[in-house]
Amino acid sequence: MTEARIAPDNPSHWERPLRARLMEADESALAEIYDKYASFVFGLALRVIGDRTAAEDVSQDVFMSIWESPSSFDPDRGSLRTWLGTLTHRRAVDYVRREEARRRRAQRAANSRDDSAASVDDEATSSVVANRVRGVLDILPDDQRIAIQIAYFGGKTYREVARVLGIPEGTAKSRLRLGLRRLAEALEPEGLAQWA
Amino acid sequence: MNDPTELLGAYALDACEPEELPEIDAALAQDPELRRNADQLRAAAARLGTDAATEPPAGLRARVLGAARQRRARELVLELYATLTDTLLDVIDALPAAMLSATTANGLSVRDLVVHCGAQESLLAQLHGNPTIPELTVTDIDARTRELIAHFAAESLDDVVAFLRRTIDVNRNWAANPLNRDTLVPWLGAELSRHDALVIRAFESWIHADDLRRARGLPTVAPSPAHLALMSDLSGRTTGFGLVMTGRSRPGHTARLVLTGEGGGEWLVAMGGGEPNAVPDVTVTAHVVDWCRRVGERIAPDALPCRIDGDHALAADLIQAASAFATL
Repeated sequence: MTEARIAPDNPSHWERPLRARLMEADESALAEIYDKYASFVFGLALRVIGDRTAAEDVSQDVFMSIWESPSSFDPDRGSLRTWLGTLTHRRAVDYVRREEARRRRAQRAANSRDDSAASVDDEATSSVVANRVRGVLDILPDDQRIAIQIAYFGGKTYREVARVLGIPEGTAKSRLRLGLRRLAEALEPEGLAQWA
Repeated sequence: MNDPTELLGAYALDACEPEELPEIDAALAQDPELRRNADQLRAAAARLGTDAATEPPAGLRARVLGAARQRRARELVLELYATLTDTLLDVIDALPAAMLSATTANGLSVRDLVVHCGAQESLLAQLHGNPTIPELTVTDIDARTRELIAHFAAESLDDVVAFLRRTIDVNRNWAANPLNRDTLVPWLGAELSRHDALVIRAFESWIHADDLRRARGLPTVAPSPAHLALMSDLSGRTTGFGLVMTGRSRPGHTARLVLTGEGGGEWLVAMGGGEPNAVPDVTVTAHVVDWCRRVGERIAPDALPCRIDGDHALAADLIQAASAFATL
């Protein structure tokens, strides 16, 4: 297991005036946010969705959200990066789940066997695990790392994580919670407060 | 219900079942400590995303900023409509009684021009489903104006202005409702976005305010650059359709329209529908205010001060078609 290399961010002070500028519809404020976070937003969307065009759409949607509703970002509750990351992930997961539902409907319409849908999901999950990003997750034990990876980058619910890994739902919930808590504690000295 | 603490990790990773979310959100709203924990886990989850950072496609930045500009313009259009209809009402309020029978640029008397403005505004209200004069349903604007002139024949100008003011308020309320943001309005055989319908109304309010000023011998007044930009944009986008509507379609040809001055811009116009060619057959350059007056038919086609580079016959068609959507 390797030690995660964490590059602390230095946000906070510029975020409050930036939000004020967004509320006045200052386009240059949006351009600043884009320049600072576009690779983070696009990369996360791409990692979850796996399709560049859809990742572009999700990224645009995320930046439009901060542009149209800057007041929904509350600097007292967390950093702009966390806000953008949370929103990007949620939108990307929504996209993945919509697509999966659509695919299942199409498969049912084609009278495919039910387990063929599961096999597509399992393939996608295997790809998520195999395509492991070496980084901050490396500080976790394998069982927690894999559970988080499937949930976060695979867009799966904890019940789906339990099914994929063949573990009870309660165990899946615990692995996600304990893994994320461990991650938060490990990152804290290196600047997680700036992320929160 | 699951213990919310148990679900906090899944919650921060967007991995809860949808039906569990309302209860977790309610628990977070009631328990500040739980919420603080959730915020910390969310921050840790968001941190995972940085390991996936990827340079976005080069065109995404322009696409995002362009979309932002458009959405900003959507709200600017409310200001445009409010400003130019307010100006029209101010000009009407200042009309001397002795002027009411004077003839204006569109051939109507000053009084009948005010009624005409009411006909136009009430048509928009009718088309978005909030009629201010339900008994009047005709959509042809000339016929509607005639009927409204007859309707108000025995009424004072104050009554007409009160009707116009009330109708403008109805349109403003409709436009300001976010639920109507993407509503389409049937107009002259096409379907207009809320944005374009408001620009047209604002455009005509400006033209008629100038008609009334002219009738009084007062100088005309150009809108602000920000407002002109919305009007010139509408014209730049729709002149191709205007060519088709007026029977001046020139398939395979492209015109470049260059409007100078603040609020102007450049457009490539496909003269026969479809996509414009990269290299235009003709470039027409005019000042944005002159062009907008041409669009409102207050400058005749052959009186438009402009420069033409390229095919003059195509330029003449473009300039003719500019006013395809003008009514009176």
